[in-house]
Amino acid sequence: MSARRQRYVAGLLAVLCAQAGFAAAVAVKVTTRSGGAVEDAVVVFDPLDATPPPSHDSAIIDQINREFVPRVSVVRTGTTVTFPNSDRIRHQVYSFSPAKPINLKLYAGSPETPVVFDHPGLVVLGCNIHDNMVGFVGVVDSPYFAKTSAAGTASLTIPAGHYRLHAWHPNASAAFAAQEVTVEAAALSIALTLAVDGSSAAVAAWPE
Amino acid sequence: MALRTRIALTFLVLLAAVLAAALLAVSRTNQGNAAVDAEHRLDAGSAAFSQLLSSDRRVLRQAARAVALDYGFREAVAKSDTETLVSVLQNSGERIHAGLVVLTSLNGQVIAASGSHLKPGTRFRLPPVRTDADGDYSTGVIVDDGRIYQLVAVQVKSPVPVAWIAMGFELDAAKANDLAQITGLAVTLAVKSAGRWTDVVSTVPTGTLRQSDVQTRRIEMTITDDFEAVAILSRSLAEARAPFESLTRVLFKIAALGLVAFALAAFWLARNITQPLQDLTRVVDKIRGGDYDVSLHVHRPDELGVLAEGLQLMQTAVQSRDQSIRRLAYEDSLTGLMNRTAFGAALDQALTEGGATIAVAVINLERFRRINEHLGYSVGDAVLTKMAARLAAVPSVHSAAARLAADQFAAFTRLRDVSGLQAWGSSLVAALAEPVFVEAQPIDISATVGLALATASGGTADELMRCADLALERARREKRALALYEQTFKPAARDQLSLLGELRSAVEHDELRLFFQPKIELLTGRVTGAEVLLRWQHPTRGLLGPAHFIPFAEQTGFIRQLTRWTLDHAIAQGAEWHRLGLALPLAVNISADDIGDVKLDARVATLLMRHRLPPALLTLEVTESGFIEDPTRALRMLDAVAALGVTLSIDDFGTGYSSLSHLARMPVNELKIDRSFVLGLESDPEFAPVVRSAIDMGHALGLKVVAEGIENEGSALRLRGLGCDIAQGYLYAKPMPLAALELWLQGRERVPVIAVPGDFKIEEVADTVTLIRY
Repeated sequence: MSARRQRYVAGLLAVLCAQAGFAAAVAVKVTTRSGGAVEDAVVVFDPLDATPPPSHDSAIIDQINREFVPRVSVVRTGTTVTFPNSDRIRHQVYSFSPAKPINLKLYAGSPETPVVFDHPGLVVLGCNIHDNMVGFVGVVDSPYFAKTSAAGTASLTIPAGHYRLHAWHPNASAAFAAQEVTVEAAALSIALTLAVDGSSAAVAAWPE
Repeated sequence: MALRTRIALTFLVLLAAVLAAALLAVSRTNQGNAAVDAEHRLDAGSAAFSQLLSSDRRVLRQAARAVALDYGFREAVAKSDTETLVSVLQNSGERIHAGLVVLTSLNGQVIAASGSHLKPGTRFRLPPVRTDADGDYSTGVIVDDGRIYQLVAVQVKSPVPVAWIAMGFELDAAKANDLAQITGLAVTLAVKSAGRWTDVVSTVPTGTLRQSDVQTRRIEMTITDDFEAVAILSRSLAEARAPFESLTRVLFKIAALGLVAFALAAFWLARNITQPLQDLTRVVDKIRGGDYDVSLHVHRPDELGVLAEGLQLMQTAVQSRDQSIRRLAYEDSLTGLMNRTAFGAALDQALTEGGATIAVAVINLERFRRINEHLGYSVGDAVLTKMAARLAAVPSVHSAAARLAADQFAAFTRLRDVSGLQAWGSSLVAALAEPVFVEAQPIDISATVGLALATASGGTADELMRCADLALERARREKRALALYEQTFKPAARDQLSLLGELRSAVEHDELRLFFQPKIELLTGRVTGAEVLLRWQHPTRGLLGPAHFIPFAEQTGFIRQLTRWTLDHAIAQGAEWHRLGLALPLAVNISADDIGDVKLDARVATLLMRHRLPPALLTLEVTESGFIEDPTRALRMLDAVAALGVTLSIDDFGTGYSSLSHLARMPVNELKIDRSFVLGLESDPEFAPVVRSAIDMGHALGLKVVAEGIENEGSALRLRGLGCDIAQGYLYAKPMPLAALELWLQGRERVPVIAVPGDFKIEEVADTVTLIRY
């Protein structure tokens, strides 16, 4: 899993480098209010200066041991995602999210067709026959995004410019207030606080 | 209180007390049971209630989950397809007859609803959320549109929670009734909203729960900050008590009936006991009144029957005893005649009735004592019985006959006039004079009769009999068969008791006086002694002669005291004179009664010793009548007295019927011819040979012969001529008091001198005193 993630990051870096010619390394650390590391927090830098082109990436969200793997994914709008089933049982993956309603008939192994996430937004994945299986796919236009590790950190390289920074976590009880971030050539460290305390039953709203 | 009432009341009160205690105990227990029962019912009802609601919640939750998990439904939720959603809600609600189905957003905004006017977008407050193994759910009671629901809400997950679907059963009147029916308790649902409690549904009228005899159980269904819903289960204690109270009422009825039945039974039983008792009491009263002819009609097999039987036997026994007591009391057992008491009563009765002249006879059987002594008491009794029969058979009109004492009888009769008296008396004498034959042996017996007539002035039976007694005494004294009471005999009978008292007083107060009548030797004219005579210095009646009280004293037995007194004083006087050198022998009269005194000799001896009078200076004059009763004993007494050295003289010789044989054996020294001979000698020269014979007989027996009652010189000369030794009478001296005698003696030329024995000594041997002469 870690190998795949590094592969995405490498791809992004290559794109950035190709467009701007220079970029800065940004390190983000997400903690709870009490200072605990927040894993699987999604950080997105929306460029304010230019509109990035649509993506034709592909991604895979596996189903292992009745869990979506990864549980939280972030993809660019237009990304094609394949939902292989690594379990020996069947699953019926669905989503009622407006960004991408999905209903994959019960299947085992690889589904017939991958799903193209062609609208930005949050897509909540479920399995109709396994109520506890929940997966989140954040569909973003910006190519600059990351997901925190178990230590609550994420690193990415972003071309210099102006960005609106969004942060999200499924269990955040309060929405993260988006903030303007200017990235220059120098490396940047950003510390964020998310209200992840398990107090909310609902899934946090996806930033607009 | 009557026994009957008491018995009945006692048992009634006891029974009532026991019943009251039992009823109280039952009532108490019932009250307790009712409370405990109500408590149990409340417990059970509450449990059932909770179970029912819990079961409802499960149904609701399952139904809600079923909907929440439905893919299509979730799709509709995701698409906000309101119309579809409403139809789903309606459909799912109808499946389980849920009155309310609401779909809300996670923050409580209505998305769709069924069975309610809730508009989408309005806020719907879900009950508090709970979590269990199946996840989060919300349950509780809510009020919507004035209706109360038990609600269960579960989350709709797609797959993250996106909404709540809530389903509720309305807790309406029908539901409450169902619950009430199943739990057996009244059900009231109350909510507190905006700080105010409202009973939304109740199976009992408003206000019932606040009554004191209602037990309640409060079950909290939902409690939030501003909303509370509770179910109040209640049970009326009255209702709980009802079965017990009905039991108690039955018991009360049984007790009341029991009391009435018992009262009737107790009164009947008590009456059954007391009625015969009352009958028996009446019988006892009659028996007490002397009515022995009551028959008892109590025939029962129980104790009362035995008592009645005993009473009957007792009645017979008492009757027979009463009759025998009456016989003993009023009848002489030997002869069957009346006794003195009955005779007195009958006589009194006759006297009270009046209308005729009542004559009373007192009859004495002469020599009866000798019959007893010589022939035995059985013969004596036979004689008495025969005499009684004869008396009873006297043909003249007589009313009653009685036996008064051993040999004394009495009878009284109603006479037409006084002239019949003599005839009646004679018939009595005649009837009793015939010899009596006992075992073919003739027994000579005679009767002396004293008669008395009831005078116009009246008088009691006692007085009349006393008069007859006196007449009898006179007859006996005069050796006649019959005497009639005359007024002059003695003071009126009524005075006798007082006379006796006065006599006693006279002895005690020394009202008696000694008079002395000298005895003169006819040949020489010298004084040979003096006879001591008794006078009574009566305090009111003056000096009384012996005729006024001696006969009375003899009748009453008082003569002994008089004799004793006379002896004492005479001996004292003799001794006085003796000390002064005057040896004047004194003669004291001894009555027939005194001879019968077994201690006479001892008395005389004691007096002689005490006053130190030589016995020769004392002469005792004894009448022949003293020998009539018991000559043998009289002789023994005279011998004893003579042994003392006392001179003995036979008084009134010639009037009695003493036999010459007795006379020969008597230890007498002197013989006094009765004054009737002296008087006769004066009027009738024919008397002379009789008097001479008497004098000669006296001399022949070696006795001095004394004549008394000499009033003139002629008699004195004649007597001297006949050989009489000593004279006594008015011719020489009247009886006179001591001082007069002493004067008289001093006036005599010749001082009386008689030989006086020398020394003497009195020795006491046991209670007999013997005077031994040296």
